[in-house]
Amino acid sequence: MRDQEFDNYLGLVGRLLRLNSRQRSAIGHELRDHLETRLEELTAQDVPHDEAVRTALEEFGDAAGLAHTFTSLARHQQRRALMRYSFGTVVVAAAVALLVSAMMPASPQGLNPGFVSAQQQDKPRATAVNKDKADRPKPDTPLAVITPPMSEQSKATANKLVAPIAARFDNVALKDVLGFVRDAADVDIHVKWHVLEQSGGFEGDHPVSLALNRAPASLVLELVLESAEAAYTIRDGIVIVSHKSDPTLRRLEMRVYPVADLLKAVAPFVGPQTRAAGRQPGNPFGTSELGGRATRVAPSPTSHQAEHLIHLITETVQPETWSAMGGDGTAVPFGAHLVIKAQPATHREVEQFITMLRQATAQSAAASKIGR
Amino acid sequence: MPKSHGPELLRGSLDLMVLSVLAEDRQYGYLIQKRVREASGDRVKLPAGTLYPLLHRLEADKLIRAKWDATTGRKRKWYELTAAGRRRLLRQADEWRHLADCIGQLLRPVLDNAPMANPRPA
Repeated sequence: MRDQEFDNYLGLVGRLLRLNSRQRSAIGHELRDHLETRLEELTAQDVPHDEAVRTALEEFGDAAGLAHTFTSLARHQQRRALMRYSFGTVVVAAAVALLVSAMMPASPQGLNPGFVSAQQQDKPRATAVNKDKADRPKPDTPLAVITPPMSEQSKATANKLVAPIAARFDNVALKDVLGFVRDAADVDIHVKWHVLEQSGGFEGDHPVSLALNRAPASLVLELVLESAEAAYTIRDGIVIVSHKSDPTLRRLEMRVYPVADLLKAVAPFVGPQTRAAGRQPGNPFGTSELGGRATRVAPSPTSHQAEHLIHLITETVQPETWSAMGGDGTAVPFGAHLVIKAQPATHREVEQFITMLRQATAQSAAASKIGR
Repeated sequence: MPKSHGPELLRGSLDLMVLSVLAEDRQYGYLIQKRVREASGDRVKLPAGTLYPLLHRLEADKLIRAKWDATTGRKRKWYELTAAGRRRLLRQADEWRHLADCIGQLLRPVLDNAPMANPRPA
């Protein structure tokens, strides 16, 4: 049993998957089996065919989100394989370095030169590893991703765009095509023509050709806009169309980052001029000067450490995008987690930065052990 | 703060649920989803968009293995536990039992003293 809407949905997932053709094909077959099995079950329960198809697709969820999850997963596996290789290389390099240092004459600095020596030897290595990691996009995946809820009007519009329409255009002007979609799907569409024209030179008379007998209005809209380097978002029930680079189209995402390990490692952030008091040994970030006031201030050390971590992130990762600098990104602590609302690109950098901090923590701990 | 551990616990528990369903017999995605829903009394609905990436992750971690089969007339991917998956299942199940015992003991005084919203009939 094949269904045109399943074809459309799976076609869209396939186009959005950034995987090789073999992987795409395997995922497509598996998802199709699920959709068709579900359709058979619903039909056997006397659910009308169209409703059964809609239900099966709704249960599956957003095609773009699904494709993104599969793509991220596959890339994560590739990066893990790379990291295993890199880790092996680092272990061998460390073993060679230890062997060489054991064969070198004793340092004139006395009984405890190892720590200084290890720091000096580790510095360039640490920098190289961090640079490597910075170039490598993968981070530890946050354990939870929470997207902001949609308004009721926007949900209604999104639902209308799920309904299939017939879209046959042969060199029809973009303006007319969007007018057709507006009428066929019964949604309000606002086009930022000035942004489209300034960004890509596309105007209302840009010709569009498309031949689909029955496709969700959302897919029609995506395919039409793709040809004009445009994209859309839904705000308060209105479909807003603009150039794909328009920052207003970039959706803010909320993510929860578990950072308990980093909070243990990071020094309390209470000001640079206070004296040391009871810093934990082996703290890779803490200098003695950053710990003093924590003993006199009521809030828990963890909250100071979380503030310090947020300070590090917002000062380092796209500083202009955070609310303190007039941007729209926010970061707040929640127990041993950071709740961060930012654009997807900023999240990617935050993840990289957190990964780098973890590596720096591990390296400092290793250096301390060598120094003892 | 139990809430702050929610996503982590949930992620761990989803893996455990899928592994435990596969401990019974080999299954394909739709059956796994159905089995989890039924076994949880409709309380856990595992969306396909979560299930399939999860299955692929478990497969990449070599905790489950998959085979394609078209003998039913439809190309279908069947999953089964590997030896490593069975060991992981046993270990995680044991960890969960200990955790549940521990939390149950900690919560007993809280629950015993809390007013019941729906008191059970005597």
